[in-house]
Amino acid sequence: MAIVESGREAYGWSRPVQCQKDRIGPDAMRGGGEIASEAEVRHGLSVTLPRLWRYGFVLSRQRDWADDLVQQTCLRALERHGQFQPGSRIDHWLFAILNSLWLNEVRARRVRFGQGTVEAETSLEVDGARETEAKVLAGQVMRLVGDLPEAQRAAVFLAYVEGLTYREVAAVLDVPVGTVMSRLAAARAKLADRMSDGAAK
Amino acid sequence: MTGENDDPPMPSDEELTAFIDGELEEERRARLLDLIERDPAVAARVEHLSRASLPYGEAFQPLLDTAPAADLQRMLDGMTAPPVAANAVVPQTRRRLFGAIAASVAAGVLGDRLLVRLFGTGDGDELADDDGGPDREHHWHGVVAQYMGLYTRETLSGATPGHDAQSAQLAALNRPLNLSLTPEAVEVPGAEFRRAQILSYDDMPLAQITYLDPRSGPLALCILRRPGTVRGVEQEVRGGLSIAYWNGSDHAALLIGRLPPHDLTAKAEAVRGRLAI
Repeated sequence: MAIVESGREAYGWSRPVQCQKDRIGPDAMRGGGEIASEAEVRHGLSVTLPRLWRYGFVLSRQRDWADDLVQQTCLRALERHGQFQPGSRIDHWLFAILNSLWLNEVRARRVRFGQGTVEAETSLEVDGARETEAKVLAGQVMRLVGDLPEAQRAAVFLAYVEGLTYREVAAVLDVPVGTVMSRLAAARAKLADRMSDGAAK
Repeated sequence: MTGENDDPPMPSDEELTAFIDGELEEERRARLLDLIERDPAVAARVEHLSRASLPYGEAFQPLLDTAPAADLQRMLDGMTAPPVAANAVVPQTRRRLFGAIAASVAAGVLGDRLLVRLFGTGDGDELADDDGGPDREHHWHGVVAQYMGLYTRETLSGATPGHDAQSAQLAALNRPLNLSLTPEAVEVPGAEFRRAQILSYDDMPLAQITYLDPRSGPLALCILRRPGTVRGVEQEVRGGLSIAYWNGSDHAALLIGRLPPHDLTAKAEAVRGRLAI
């Protein structure tokens, strides 16, 4: 299929970062440019905080987990500000950090500590989101998405809510584009079935 | 998708989804359009999958509006990038102290039961008041803050000791400080126990229990024997580190870490309720 003709490596942000390190070298990374870069990352975080939180909430389906995820994302991004490539999409870079933290640390830790299981949480809902018809519809769409398996939910959110291209979604999730396509197709089939069944009514 | 024939049976949902999402390259898209024209089954499948083209952006807007933006911004503002923090917060005049402590850490003094001597700053103004005044009373906060400024996540990257090992480490603190610490009593909400050891402050034993908070990094609970008036938890910030401190009838205690003061205070309150000092 045309969309997957390139290898996945080209889409990840980790690869260009490695190239940058090799080129500049560790000593040069400590120069004055690092301070500017931290400021840049800090600013990027600042303007992206609500969207990061929303992604954290979509993944975890819990407000306090979303808080956790954003806080850890900030910490990790500041720690690794030298890895951010100026000129690239900082919001996507931050989404990728948050996603990785979710998969590798937060979710695993919470499950291990018995502080809740990931599979059986409540649906995505916003307090008081049932006041008007528009909000009712919004709530239905969120519930439909919230009922999807986590991997599909993340892909749907990034592609259809955040408007990322398939390749950008693949980079954030650190998976091949083909995997993104599979997840979106499976999600679409499921959502379409539910719409046809009237499950969303 | 290997089918490059003129008349493939039925495109996969992946391909149809990419078509609906405008992600197919032009040539493939044109061929699929042609197929939809000719094959009602393909058209029906596209129509079905298109039912999932919902107003996602609008639907998730309210969620964006409920994000605790102000809290998150405050959290970010209070956050210092760890590699920069340790040096950035130490005034020039305190290099000597800093170096001494750094050397201790480098020499492996952080191992259990070894004695780390926390030096005074040598700052005359702070040390002069030796009669129990408020500056003197809180002087140790500053010394602990400088010491904790050296800690990074890596310092505490080890595993959490088992319950018995924790008990043994705490027992080593209990006798010199006249305490009765247990792993349960010193538990800090949301943080993982790392080690308990005795430091020395002003020739007095100082209990230091370190934790790794996955959210904020290193935390420490420090206890000093200091009879006085019982006081509830108060908070301050020193060198970019938050400190929540309180007094029992026989000891002074503090919890220190790089997180918002009110978050730290909440943890301190939880510990205070369990800790007999």
